[in-house]
Amino acid sequence: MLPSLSDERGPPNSWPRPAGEEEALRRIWQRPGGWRFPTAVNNTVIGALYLGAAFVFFVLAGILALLMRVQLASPGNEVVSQDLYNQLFTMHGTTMMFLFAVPAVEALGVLLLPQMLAARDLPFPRLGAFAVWAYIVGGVVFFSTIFYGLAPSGGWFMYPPLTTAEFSPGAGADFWLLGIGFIEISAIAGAIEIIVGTLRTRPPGMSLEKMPIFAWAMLVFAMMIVIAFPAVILATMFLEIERSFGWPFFSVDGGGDPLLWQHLFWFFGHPEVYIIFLPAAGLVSMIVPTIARAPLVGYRLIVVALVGTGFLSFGLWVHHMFATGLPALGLAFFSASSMAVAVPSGIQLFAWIATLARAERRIRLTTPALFILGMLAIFTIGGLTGVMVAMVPFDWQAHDSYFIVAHLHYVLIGGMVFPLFAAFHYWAPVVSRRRLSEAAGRWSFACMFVGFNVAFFPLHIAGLAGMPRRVWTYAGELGVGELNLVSTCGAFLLAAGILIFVIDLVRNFRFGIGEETNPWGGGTLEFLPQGVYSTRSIPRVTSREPLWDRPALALEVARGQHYLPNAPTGGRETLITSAIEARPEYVIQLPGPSWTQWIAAVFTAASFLLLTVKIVVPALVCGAIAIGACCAWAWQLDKGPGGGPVDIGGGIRVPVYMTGPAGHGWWAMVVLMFVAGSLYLAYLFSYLYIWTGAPEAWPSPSVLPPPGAAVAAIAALGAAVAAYVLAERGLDAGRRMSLLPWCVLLAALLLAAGVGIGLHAQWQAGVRPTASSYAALVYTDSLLNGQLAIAVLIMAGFTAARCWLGKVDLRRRACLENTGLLLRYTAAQAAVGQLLLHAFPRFV
Amino acid sequence: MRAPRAVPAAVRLFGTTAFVLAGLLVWGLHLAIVYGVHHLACARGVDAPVVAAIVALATFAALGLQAALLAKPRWIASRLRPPPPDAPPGAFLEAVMRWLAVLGAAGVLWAGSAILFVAACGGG
Repeated sequence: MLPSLSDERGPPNSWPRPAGEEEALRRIWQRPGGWRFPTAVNNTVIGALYLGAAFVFFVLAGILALLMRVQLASPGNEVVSQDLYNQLFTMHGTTMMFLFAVPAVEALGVLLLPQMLAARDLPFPRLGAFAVWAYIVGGVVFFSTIFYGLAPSGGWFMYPPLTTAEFSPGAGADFWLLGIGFIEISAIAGAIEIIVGTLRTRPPGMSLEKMPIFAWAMLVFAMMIVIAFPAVILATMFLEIERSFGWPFFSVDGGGDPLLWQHLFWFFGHPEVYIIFLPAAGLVSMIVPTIARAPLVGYRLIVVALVGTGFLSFGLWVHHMFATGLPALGLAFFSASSMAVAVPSGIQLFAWIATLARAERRIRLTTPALFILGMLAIFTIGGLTGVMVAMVPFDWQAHDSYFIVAHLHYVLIGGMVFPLFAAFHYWAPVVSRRRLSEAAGRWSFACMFVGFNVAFFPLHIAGLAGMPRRVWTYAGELGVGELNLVSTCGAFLLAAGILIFVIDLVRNFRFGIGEETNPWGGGTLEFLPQGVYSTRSIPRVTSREPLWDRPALALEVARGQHYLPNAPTGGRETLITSAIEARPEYVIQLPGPSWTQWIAAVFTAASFLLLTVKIVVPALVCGAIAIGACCAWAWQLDKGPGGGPVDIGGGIRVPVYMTGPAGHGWWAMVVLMFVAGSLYLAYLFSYLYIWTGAPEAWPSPSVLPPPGAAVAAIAALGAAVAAYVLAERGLDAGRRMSLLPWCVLLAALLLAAGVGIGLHAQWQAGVRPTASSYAALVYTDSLLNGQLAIAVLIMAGFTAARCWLGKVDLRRRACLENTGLLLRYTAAQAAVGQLLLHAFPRFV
Repeated sequence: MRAPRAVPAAVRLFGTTAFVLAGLLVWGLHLAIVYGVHHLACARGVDAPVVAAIVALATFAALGLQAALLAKPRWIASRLRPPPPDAPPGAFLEAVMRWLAVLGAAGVLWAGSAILFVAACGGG
């Protein structure tokens, strides 16, 4: 039975608190400095680093945009060469989308969510640090390719056949495919952290209907990453394998289909727009009530809008493919979804306007308020042109023209960049000793708002006048020279606004604990008094704006009168609560600073990048070092149940260790299985899609491997699961402890054997992956299952080692359970694969 | 410490998620069916009126499910076990579920009505 929060009036702990509590917290949560800085895992350090790196990429991609605008300022210009121009627009789009937009909003989640939830940190601090360092190393190397002519030049969505080895020789496309695929893996790591953190580290009493809107937005954002990103990871795998080894996924000659790339890319790419927009909308929903000094109008409907937008956005991908010749009724389905998704976006806009209209006093036009108002104007225009291009006949006219360039910049800069600048100013006092300058903020806003509209509004007209996008130059006779010149002037004014912000940042931003606790009079928990340990105690929450509804809360929390005012296990901890009602469940023991996650990140990035340039052996060595570092990192995580249960205040005692479905590690593994499941569903879609286009590539039943091979493979998979279940039951019964590690290893080996049997049968039947799209897909199944089987083998070795060293027992069994989860999932996926590969060709 | 009651709590979260998203899941299923059937049937040369009839049938079925979700949310709740309406987040979650079902129904109607204006299997 979960503890109930009985007394709703007074704080749960008495005051004064025992001496030394706060000092102990400060010592435990101290941030490593100097040369040990890379070992830091505090969310404020990692979040600020993440956000800073994303902003640097924003500036760099902006400089590329200015170069493009200079080139386009007048007809027939030759400031840059045609090839460099192609690299510029590819790197601009790729950097903005993959290295700035998604990382920036994920960084805000890492930075602000624990503060908004009054948690001491997110539940997997080292995973967050790993994601950030992997992103920084991978991003820097990827971006640097522009300086030595190795940058990709196929556009940010890299359509084949343009990007196949035949038409894009050289390593540019490979850098895009492996670099971006790798950065997406780091985004997924961050998403796992955010999902578990949002659901499990809320303060007691903050049930789902009291959760800050930004937390809702980040939850939807992270779920969308889990579902959407695997599709593009699969697409990049397909294209890289085709480029490197000639497996024909996209080449028509081998039965492939270039449209498959577009389906997979846009299944990720369209939700990507909302992956960027929804967190920004969450930021707006947090700032607007403070501006208006009134609770948000329509909280419930805004939650509906966030969830609805996130869900509907997965039904829009074909609207990027209206000009590909698909049947008209199919286009109409997606046109309808594209218009339907405007409804929840509209709900949010009207809720913000209604909240502002409800203001008790005249709205103070502070810098965050100005950026929010600017966002409302710009995003509304972008949304309206979005509805226009959602209509098929109009899209056919505007497709691949500068109208689309204008539309997407109105949506993305209005929907994400302006809210981000509002957020920079609004939340700077939480992580900086000083506020940013109001005067500089106003100048920055004025230049950005005017500059943006001068830069991008004329491009609507240029597009309608017939100017295609991605052209290096254009003829004067087209009549768009003046529009382009105006646009270039606007771009420089926009850049000047950003430069003012950078100067302000250099002059005023000083990382640390803010001198002002709540400068804007906000009602949410991030404006509680903070230390390096986050809040002194974790508050009991009874409303959506606890600082407005309980003015004494800040003082009570700072005095340590709420939950967990100390460090009962002597290490880093935070409170884990139930996912729906937020009742205290246990205290999680968090890992502290370490080099392990940093080494893992750097060597994972190195491995991917060396593979890109085909330096295989050093790449494998780097991969092995990265895996070793991951094992060393994971070894320190399971601290065991010693020291619990502990008193957290209000007479509530909770354990300090939890495994099984209540434990945070179990949740992370389940989310990871969702990622693997989404990847495999994208594979199943690809298999069926290629079959509909090229059924002649599928062999007749007489040349398929014998059905007995599938039976043998599935039997091995079943035996793997059975061996594992026996091991777990033996542990439960307290018997056969010496056999436990051997059973775990045997189960993993049987799993690998099951995958291997399936692969061997295909090879024996004469199927070769380069022969046809069918054969390539058959081997991709083995690839997907094989990589999971390798992961299970490594985890099984890790679990066996812990068993031998006495670190696994009836209660301390997190690694055993997590390995078991992945093993079961892999066995199920591989069995589905065998059924698909053996049954489908026999029945069609 | 291993929590023997933890499984129901985790299962309850999945049930709650399915309950809240029920209307949108119906929308997703409808889109998958109408797009999948249209793509496959047209590629295989099935007659356009047959394809149109399948789309219409799927649309009516999806709308019927959405109506049932709106009219009888307690029926589905009894199977998926979200928090009861008298517990703190229960009423909120039920309201969110209903609004999402309305949104999903609008999406189904919007997509399905295309069959009234555009011929099945026609060129794009």
